[in-house]
Amino acid sequence: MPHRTMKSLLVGLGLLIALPSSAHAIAFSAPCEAPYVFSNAAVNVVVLPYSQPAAFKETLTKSGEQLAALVQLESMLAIAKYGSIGLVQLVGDPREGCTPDEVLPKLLGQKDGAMEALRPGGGLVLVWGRIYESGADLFVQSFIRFVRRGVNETIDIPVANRTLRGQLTSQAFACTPRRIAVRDLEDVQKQYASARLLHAQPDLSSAAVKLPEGAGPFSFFITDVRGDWVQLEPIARSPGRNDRFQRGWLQARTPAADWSLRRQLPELAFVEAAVGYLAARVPRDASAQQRNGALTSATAALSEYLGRWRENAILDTDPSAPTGTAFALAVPRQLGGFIRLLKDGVTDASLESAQADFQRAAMQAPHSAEARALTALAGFALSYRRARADQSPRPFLGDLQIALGADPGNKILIANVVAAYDLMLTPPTGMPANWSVTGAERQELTRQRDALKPLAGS
Amino acid sequence: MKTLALLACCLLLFAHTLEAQIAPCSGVQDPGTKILLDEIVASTPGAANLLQPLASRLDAGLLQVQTELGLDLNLKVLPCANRKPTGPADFTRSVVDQLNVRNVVMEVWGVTTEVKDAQGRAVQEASVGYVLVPVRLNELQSQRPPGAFVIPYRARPSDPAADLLRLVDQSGRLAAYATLASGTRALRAAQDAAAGRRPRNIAEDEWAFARKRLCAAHALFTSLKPPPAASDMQLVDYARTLAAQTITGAKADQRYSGSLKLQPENLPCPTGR
Repeated sequence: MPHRTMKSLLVGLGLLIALPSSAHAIAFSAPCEAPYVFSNAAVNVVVLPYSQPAAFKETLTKSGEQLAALVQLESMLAIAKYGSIGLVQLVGDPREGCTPDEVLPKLLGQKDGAMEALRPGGGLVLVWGRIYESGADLFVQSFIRFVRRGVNETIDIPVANRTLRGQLTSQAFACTPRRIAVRDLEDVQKQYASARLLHAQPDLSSAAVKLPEGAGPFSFFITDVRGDWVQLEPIARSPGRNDRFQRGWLQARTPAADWSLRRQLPELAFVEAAVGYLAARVPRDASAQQRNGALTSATAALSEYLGRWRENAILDTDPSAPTGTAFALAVPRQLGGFIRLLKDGVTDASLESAQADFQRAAMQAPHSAEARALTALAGFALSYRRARADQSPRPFLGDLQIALGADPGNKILIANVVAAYDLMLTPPTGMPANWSVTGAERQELTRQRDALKPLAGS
Repeated sequence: MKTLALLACCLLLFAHTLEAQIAPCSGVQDPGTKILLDEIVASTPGAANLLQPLASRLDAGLLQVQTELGLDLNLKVLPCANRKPTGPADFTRSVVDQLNVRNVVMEVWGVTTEVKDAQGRAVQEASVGYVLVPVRLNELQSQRPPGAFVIPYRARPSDPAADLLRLVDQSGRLAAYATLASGTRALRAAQDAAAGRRPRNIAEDEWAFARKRLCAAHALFTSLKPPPAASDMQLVDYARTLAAQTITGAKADQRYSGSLKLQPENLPCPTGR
């Protein structure tokens, strides 16, 4: 169906609504060919179906879609605390274009076809994956991308009268593949069935209405969260599908003692962290305390992910061997450094902690010039601020130059090198004597700086 | 005469079979940089149970490359049903030229086989073939380095599927190859533009793009789990050589004014581990 026709139809049905910016909303079974987000929400999580082999076990043919639905619900429980969030489960066949390649440009407004695109500056976490089968074994691999529309994730580090700007290595990565049992997918099925029931009370014995399969979207406000239960209020009361539902309670996950998706997929903790990070950075009406709270929760979720990422993972028996999914460790560590600097401000302690994270990330992704530059920037800023004779910023300037040699078109990196030259040429009063540059060095630094300046980004 | 006719017939049939195995892949004409993933085949019936895991592993590995490098390269992975190369020799000059003009940077195929180990036990082996298209083009012109090759992975009989997951691309080999191939292509584009053989891309610093890819490839190769495959050892040297050429080329290019102009000619790429 053409985009505009579909949009008109949905507007007619009252499905496109203006969501209050502080509200939570969730949509089930939204068709992938016309994806949407809740554009008034600060951050949206959109989950695509996990693709699976065409010749999958007959009883498990819906596993990919059901797993995605549970990822959505699990995320809902984890991120409701951030305020102003939207969650959308897309349904469709990955072999027929229900893929991030098709969906993301629409949601970012770069391509026609979204029912409702992200507003500029709005945050989005996209989750998708693969399930594959081998004999009696099943493996699942998730992929995550986090973005703000029109914004590259960077962190500003003020140093004296200049600002250095750090970049992430990537805003998307593949998680490590994990082994799951067929029984786990059967649990997914059971939990999915239970999570499609809208109860009158947050109690399994209360009366329930079943959400239909397919032919969505079914959109709801999230009006309350109590433990594993969420209260949903239908968004559209137009003639049609959603009228069949009253406000009701949905059990988003079975109690912790039973099977837990979060235990199976530690990367869901990263999703929680990424949403918290974005929620703190998206421009909106939120207090400093709320933003700080989001960053605190994000830090805890990141720690959980980095502490548990090995669980069920298929890894080399040699623990020192590379993991094959280097970005799945490097990017979260860099994000951890960003969060620390945002939350605590740029202090010696926060820089030291962030530098340690950046350094580990650079070891995990040695091919990333951004990772090397991030470590060098933090080191440069820290040594410049401390102004100690035994800790010259000079080696960090050298590292920045090496990073630039490996990514010579990176305008942000060029601007950083220019700023570092400036700082070396105009040292603070009372700087250690061994920091001073000779006349010849000064001349060379000035020449390099002046040549680079016109190439730098703003 | 009859024998000759029969021989000619056999040759024709053989040629046809070979050609059929390099069957065209739909979508290859689409714009953007592409990686082709061919149909995975089992050469012996005993190796059929590794088919699905190998296909899935390669598919997931390429999805990872697409996800993590894709925005830089506008990269697409195209599955090519019925395309079954038999070996590097299938990638002749004309086949590789065709791939190159369609902006295919890499092609991957796989064969599973049951072989006997030193103790005579049946073990399963997956052989993955790689063609790095721009590198293969250079190889066909100058006999260096290998641009098409096969790497065998032997899975332990106790847990062949999980072992295959660990072996195939566990340390990012596909990313190293894709990055090297795209860097090689970018370098050639920059060299051609500098020599006036094609128009210059004013929206992009092609020398810088090539340098970034080639240095990243160099670091990725040096991060692979040891011991390296023989082809990888040659390719890491090749990446280093081409990365150096980006600086000499940029410095010699009179119309280039980017940051490479300021770098010393011997500036090495940062090393990995």
